[in-house]
Amino acid sequence: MSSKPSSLFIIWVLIERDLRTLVKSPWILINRTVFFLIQLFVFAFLITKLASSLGFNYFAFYSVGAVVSTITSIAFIIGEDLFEEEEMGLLDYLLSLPFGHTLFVIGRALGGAVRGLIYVTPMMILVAYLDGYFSVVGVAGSLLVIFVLATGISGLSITLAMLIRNANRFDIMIALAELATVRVSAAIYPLVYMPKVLQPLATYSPVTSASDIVRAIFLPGYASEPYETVVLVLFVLIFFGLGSAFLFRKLEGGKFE
Amino acid sequence: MSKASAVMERDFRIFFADKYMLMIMFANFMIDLGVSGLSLGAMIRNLGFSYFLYIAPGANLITATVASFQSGRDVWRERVIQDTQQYLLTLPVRKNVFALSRLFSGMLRTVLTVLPGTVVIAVLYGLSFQYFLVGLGIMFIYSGAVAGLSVAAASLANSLELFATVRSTVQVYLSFFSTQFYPSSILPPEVAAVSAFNPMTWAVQSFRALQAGTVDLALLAPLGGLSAALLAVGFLMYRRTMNY
Repeated sequence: MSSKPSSLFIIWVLIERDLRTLVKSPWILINRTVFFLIQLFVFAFLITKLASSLGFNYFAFYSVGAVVSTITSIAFIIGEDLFEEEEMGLLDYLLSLPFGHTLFVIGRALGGAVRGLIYVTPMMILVAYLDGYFSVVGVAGSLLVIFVLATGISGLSITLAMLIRNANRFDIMIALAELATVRVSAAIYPLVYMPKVLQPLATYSPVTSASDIVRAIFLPGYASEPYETVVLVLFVLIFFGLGSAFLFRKLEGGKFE
Repeated sequence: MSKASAVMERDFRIFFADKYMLMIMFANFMIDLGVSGLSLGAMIRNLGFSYFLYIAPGANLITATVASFQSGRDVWRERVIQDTQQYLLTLPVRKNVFALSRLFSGMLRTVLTVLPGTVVIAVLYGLSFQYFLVGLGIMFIYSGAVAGLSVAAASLANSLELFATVRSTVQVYLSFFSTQFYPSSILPPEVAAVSAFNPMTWAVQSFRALQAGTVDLALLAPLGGLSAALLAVGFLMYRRTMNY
């Protein structure tokens, strides 16, 4: 009689499966890289020209935000994968495998995050170089911060994939969630320039927290608050919980439109 | 005509099967305009004009891009995921009529989707009712370009990955290689050259001209030309998938 595989082994198998899809998806990798470079060298460069009267270097500010928004956007892909698996009937098979749905969510969320990290590591190194930051430990610390963010975003994306049954609505909702998480944050503009009514919300956004922490590491004159680390960790815990809960509901059945 | 309208009605039913779709699309537009637009507008104040108003029509055109791309998404799903294209082609509608109706319905769906956003821009710009209708016309013509591109992509892509890649590449091209965010005078020559072949450039400039009180045919003509060309590409690619 064979022994039951350990939880760590199961999580590793799930992560490995998602990494395999990374290797099989060169188009997405190329596309996101080109998108990032265009954001940085076209959009940020030209907006910095227009915003020349600001008292800070907008290009440096934006460069960090571009990495954070890129990993956010990549982490959302895991939900699209799950939705596609559900649409094709593959998710039912995956959920029938002999491990709990919490492990499934953890494995898929970590898989999405690791995938995102592999995508953005070269981008983070490029930004560190452009911003004149050369500490290997600091870059590694920044990668850890965005990995935590990506894990939470993956959980959020999985939750949406499990909640929404209509393909058109899912497409639009994922785009909306991605837009809202990045735009209602300090990733691409300082909080002080945002509409006052949104500033409290953006202050406690995990994307703001991740951007602020990385800026505090890379850029002189920037600081992050201790509560921002708490926000990041809470975000991950909440969406692990919700992702698991909705997967459980999926196990209990439901109509796919 | 009744067959064409039946095809279009089906597309409308698919698109609006979700009763919250219009609200979600409007929320998308409001985030673009009310968050990013206002924030960037507050940051950029030294241009001698309101940067917020300058980029406002772009937010609506981005929503139009998302809505128009759903035409390709429908075609792609029927062809690759649902495998219903062969069945649809057995219906008593000529293939040319079927393909054209799909593209046309995509354009109409887009106009309906961006109607609330266009009202918001018209109010911000203080447009008369006639100019508001011209604004809707601009959205209609622009959506033809994106619908054509999306259906062409859907006809070529056999995986979701490739289709999603083309979709985001088109969105990046439309947004960042156009005058949506920056005046053409500050564009590097290479970007300026590319932006001349971008329907977003002509659509957003046409909309800005309305604020100045003109319907600029010199801007509308290239927009119409590009849209017609891209619609033709979409039509031909879609038709090619119908031949066995």
